[in-house]
Amino acid sequence: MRVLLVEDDAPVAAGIEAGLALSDFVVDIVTTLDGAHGALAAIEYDAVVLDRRLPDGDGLTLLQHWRRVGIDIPVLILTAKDAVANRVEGLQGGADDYLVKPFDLDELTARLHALLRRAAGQIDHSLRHGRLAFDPVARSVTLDGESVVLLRRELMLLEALIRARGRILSADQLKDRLYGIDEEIESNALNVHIYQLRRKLGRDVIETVRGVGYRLGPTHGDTPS
Amino acid sequence: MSLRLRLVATLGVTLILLWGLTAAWSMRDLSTQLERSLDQRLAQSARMVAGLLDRVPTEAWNDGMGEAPAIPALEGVACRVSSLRGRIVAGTHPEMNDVLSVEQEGYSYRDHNVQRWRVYTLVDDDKRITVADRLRERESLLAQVRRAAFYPFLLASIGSLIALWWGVTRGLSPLSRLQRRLMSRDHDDLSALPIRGLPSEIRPLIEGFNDLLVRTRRMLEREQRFTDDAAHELRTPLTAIRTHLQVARRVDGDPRRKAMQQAEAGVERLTKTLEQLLLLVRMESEEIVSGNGDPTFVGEALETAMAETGCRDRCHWNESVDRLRVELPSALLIIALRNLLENAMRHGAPSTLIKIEAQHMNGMAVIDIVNQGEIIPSDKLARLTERFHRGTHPQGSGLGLSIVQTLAERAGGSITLDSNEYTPFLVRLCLPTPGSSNGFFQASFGNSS
Repeated sequence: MRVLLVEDDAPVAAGIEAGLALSDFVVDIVTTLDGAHGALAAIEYDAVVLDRRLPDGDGLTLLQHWRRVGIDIPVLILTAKDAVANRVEGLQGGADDYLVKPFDLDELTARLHALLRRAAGQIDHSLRHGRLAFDPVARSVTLDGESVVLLRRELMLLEALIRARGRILSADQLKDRLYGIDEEIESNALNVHIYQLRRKLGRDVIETVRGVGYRLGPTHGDTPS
Repeated sequence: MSLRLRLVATLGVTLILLWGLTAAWSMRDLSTQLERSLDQRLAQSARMVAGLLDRVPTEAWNDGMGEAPAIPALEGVACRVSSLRGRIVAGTHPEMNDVLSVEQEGYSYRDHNVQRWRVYTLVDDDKRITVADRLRERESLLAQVRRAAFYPFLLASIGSLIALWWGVTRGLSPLSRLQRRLMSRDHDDLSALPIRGLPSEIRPLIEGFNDLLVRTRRMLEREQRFTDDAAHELRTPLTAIRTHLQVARRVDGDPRRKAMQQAEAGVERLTKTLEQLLLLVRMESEEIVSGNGDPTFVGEALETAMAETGCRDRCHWNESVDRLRVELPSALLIIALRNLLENAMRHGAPSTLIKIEAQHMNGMAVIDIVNQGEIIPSDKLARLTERFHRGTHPQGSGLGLSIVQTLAERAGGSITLDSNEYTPFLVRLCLPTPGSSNGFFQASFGNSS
């Protein structure tokens, strides 16, 4: 899952990035409202973690702007203001959730997962696709109730495809969800991960749509050979 | 007691007293006047009788030796004509001998059957004419006149009281409106009260009140901003520490070491911010004991400040710094200089020169600290001494210049900021020198570092 972190304080941003990376989030950091606006226009993010106090203004004004123009991406606001009035103001300004600094990393992760779940219209926290079940919090996958061991990037790839719900994702879109802006990517890395997923979960778990991209195969899935 | 009641009571009592006194006085006057005119009437009637008798031949009443003619009696009036020798010639009320047998000429009071009469006797040539008025008639006349005068007075009094009540109520209505408006306000409503329609007496009061409201609102806003800023400055490093510690617990090796380092850096930053904040608060609130502490050499304090901030290589200062002394404990001067140097280091581009110039001017030590860097527009420059205002560089607590400003002002000095193409950023610190009358500054601060 790719998250945009808008935070001007470098040590805080580094801490959040490192913490979210432990839960397989890909985090891009921007430090200004302008940067956030640009990043959101360029890359498809699953959620935004937005600090309110930024060098070029209040994060809430940007959020209000986004909501006005119809950008409905889940947004979690971070702030040092803990008064009830501030929380209400934040939520009414279009935030989906609100965390007061200093917060617990686990809470941030759990809240982000909850936001993503709500955005996807899920009821419980596991994502299902036919016989496949994926638990984004525990980072575990089961096929017919049997646990399957996947590596980190394989998990992230599968999560992206499941969350796309049958929508075709291009190779670039998939790479966006797997790697941060400044991470080096080997040219065949994506193919390797797709190969590994097919090997572990069945050949037609991922369907290649020639010239367009990839999506999950028909819901039944094949038993692994 | 309400203002209206007080006004109405005071004016009402005064009015009634005045009316009452006037009435009593005019009643008294009335009875005197009435008595006098009735007396005159009595005398006139005696003279009229005398005039009538003059035209009657003397024999007509001198010869008759028989009964004196009795004239039918009139109620409340009596008359008798007699000769000087006392023979009654004619008269009413023969039984009222005790009233009408007055020999002396003039007015007198006489009693008959427990009734008082006013008697007038006229001696004319050889006859004596006595006329009398019963006082009861006179008194009832007086009572009638009094009654006739009393009702208009009563009506006027009641009317004036009503007019008074109405006038006072109407006059005080702006106050009542104001009272209602104040009572219906929220206790945290700080908006100005409307001035329009207020009488000129209370207008200055409300204007003063509105001024106070504006000042209170500004103060509350400043407090709120300070609280928000302090929360931000304290919670942000705390967030960094917490997240990095949590990360460190979950990873091993190099990432763990890095996370711990970041957490430690966060602790350091928090410590620094807290120290600066405490210093600022103490400097504002602590009682400053005046006394004659030893003056401090600027040169020595500058050496220490440069050593503490590690910027000696970048600093360039003139010789006069060593000779200049200021009336400030050395610990405080070092704090001020250290903050200014840290500020110059952050704002100035790395490894550019920081120039320090000191001079003696009008009893003040003027210390200029100039660094190279971008020019700051004047509106931003004005905000730099606000607490937690950090300009564009995110390091530092944003309290340094506030601390120096507070310190300088409490010492009887000042700081001014300037930014132009020749001196991209100049802080001028003015402090009193020994012997200047700006007072001593010996504070009970410890060493803040």
